[in-house]
Amino acid sequence: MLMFLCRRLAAAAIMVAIASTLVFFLIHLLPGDPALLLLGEQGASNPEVVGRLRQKLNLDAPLPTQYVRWVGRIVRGDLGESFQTGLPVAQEVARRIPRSLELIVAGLVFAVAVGIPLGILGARRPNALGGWLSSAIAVVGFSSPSFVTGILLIIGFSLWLQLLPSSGYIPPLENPVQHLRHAILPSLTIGTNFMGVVTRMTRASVMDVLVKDYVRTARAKGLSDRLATYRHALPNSLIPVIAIVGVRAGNLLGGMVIIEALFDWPGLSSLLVRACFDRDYLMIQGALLAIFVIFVLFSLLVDLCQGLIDPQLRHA
Amino acid sequence: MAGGTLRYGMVTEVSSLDPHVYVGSSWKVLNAAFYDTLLAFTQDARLVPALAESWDTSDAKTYVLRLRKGVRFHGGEPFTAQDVKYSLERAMDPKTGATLRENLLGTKVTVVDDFTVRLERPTPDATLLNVLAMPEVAILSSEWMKSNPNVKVKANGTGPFILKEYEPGVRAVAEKNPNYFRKGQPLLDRVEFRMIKNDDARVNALRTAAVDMIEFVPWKDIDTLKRQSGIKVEASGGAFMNLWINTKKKPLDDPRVRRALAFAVDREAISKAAFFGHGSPLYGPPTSPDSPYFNKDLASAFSHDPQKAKALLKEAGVPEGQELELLVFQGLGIYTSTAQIVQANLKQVGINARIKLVEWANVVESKNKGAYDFMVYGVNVKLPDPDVYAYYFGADSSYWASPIGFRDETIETLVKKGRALTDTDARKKVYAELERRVIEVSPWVFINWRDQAQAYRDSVQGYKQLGGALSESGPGIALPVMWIKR
Repeated sequence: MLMFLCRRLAAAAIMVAIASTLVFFLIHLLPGDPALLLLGEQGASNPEVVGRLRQKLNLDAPLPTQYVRWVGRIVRGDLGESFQTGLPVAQEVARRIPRSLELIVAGLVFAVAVGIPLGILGARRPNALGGWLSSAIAVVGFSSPSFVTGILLIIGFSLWLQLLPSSGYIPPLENPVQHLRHAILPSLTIGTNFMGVVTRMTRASVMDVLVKDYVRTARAKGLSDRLATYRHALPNSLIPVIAIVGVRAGNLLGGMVIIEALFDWPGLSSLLVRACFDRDYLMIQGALLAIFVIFVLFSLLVDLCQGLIDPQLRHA
Repeated sequence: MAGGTLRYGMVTEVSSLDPHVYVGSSWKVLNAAFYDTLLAFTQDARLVPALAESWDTSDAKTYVLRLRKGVRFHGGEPFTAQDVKYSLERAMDPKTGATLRENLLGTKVTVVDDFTVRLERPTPDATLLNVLAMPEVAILSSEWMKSNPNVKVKANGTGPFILKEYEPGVRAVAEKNPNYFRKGQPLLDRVEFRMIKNDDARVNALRTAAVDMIEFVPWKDIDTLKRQSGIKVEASGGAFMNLWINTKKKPLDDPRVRRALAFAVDREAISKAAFFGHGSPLYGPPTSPDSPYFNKDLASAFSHDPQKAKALLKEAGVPEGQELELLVFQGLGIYTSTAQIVQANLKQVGINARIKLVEWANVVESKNKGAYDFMVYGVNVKLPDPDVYAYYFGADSSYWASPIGFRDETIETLVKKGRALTDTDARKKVYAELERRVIEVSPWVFINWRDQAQAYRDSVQGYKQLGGALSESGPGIALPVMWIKR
């Protein structure tokens, strides 16, 4: 198991290094000069001022030199400072990660708690009313875009029922209860989409496994239908479900732009988008690096979970 | 009656609080909360003392300002003439990138004693007092600046509120300054600024009472919010929309072609469709009708007249089917809808305008490099003085003119003349002439005044929407006298 973990970690590190190098060179291809953006409507036309600022921001050096400097700083644990605010990138990114993870994890819990039972129901009674309902919910869940789900939730829970706030973020230390109330709708929006995927995957996978020989054997030796499903079929059928959930969760870190905008939730995605519009290179690089690392950790976690369920995979 | 917490939803994700560098209307409110200026405007647009108690000038060239005593910065430093000298010089330093740098440039600041400063302009300048009242010329503590603080994320002014917490682009929390120099102000205990860029999220936050007030009400929502009980909407014309033309590019270097564009554009249609009726067509120069410098004779210099446009194009020798590229910011519906109507209008007169949708970074870069044919651009009136024409069209102004090398000698002369005069009637004549020249040259096609609307819940008291040049400053001016009814 330790060997397996080491190998995976080494591969992960290489992946992160390649990805962040690509990002570094790609974002410099974007048109738009951060120095001009920083100087705003006035200062930007004075070439001397622009030049001095570019020097200060380290933008005057050739790209490879900039890259080496950047890597050198990262090795020392320094992601640099935001062009826009002058604050350390690490600090800004670190502040945002828990906020994004919070929504993703909450959405995930909801998705698994609802999606797996729904999927099993669908697999066991594919032609009964319950099965139909399970499929219908799943399809609506994953095919409805998050801004539609989100707006419907806002209209329902905030405007009509007036039970939950429509948007905003309250720091947990300032008011934990309000913090959680604000987190519910965005988490549900993520969770609904997730739940659809989980339901579909679980249903398909359980159905596949239910017709396998070993399940038939289990039944033949006298186990009840229920026991055969839950004890023998389910663990195996969860492997692909875990894989897809892991990948999707990783994607969400930088891919919640719409949800964060809709609910005015200051997470990692909105930081990344703003940094892109501002051409805040170090911030973009730092945020993406964080996303890569977390993504890789997610997939590592997925591998581990699968390894725990299925010993064969550990040696693969 | 006083007190309460105001939760204010702003449109810009303000990522810098630098008091001299404008980054949007929302920044202006924050700046006015934390910093003061030497002079200030009231809600009825009068120029009144602020950090300067009184001032004198004999020739509009040398100004002597006597400063208020006993004022302290939030950090405890006493306010003196040194702070004025430091702040004005910082605003003139090219490294700062201050928004009103060019309006101050060349001013010699002398500390006469602790509470007197003398400002000397190189030439007579009647606009200086107005400039000193703009939030962009805020006074900061020279003592504090010695420690080289990050002014983008910290604030230390003498303003009515003290910055307690700030997350760039997300929120700012301000608390009442108990030692504010205007006795009895501010009335609010606390202001929570939330930056909600998404239009729907901002409007929903107000409708669900998650905030008490929002700025920059999306035009599509103005009527809906007006109908909702418990919510008030106030709107006034504050910014005007334009086509900015690159006067160096053929065939746009010919004023007849630019005037043709001005006749081709259907301002009525744009105001109705792009602004949902919340805009008023601008057929003359961009001086607000309530300004003393408003020029009735020129108010309908243009009209929607495709025939005339065609004739002008023919006269200038522009071939049928001339291609032009219209640069448009993709992030705001008012820009893209305006562009589509302009494109259709120009089609009618035989010009094929290709719309190029770009993000803001690209707009800024194209503008500063002069790399565009023409573009849709909204302009906030920067100063309550017709000297803004220097900012718009002056050859040295980097706002629009200098990047493309626009220079009109008549405009240059008139701007200088107007600035040196102090008598309003004499100035009116000069600026009327200047506006005639602007129409003749037509460097920009003025499209319409767009309504800027703020919406707030019934509990919010003391707010007044200001128009024209003070439209953007309105919330900042109102902040110290606002309160929440419980």
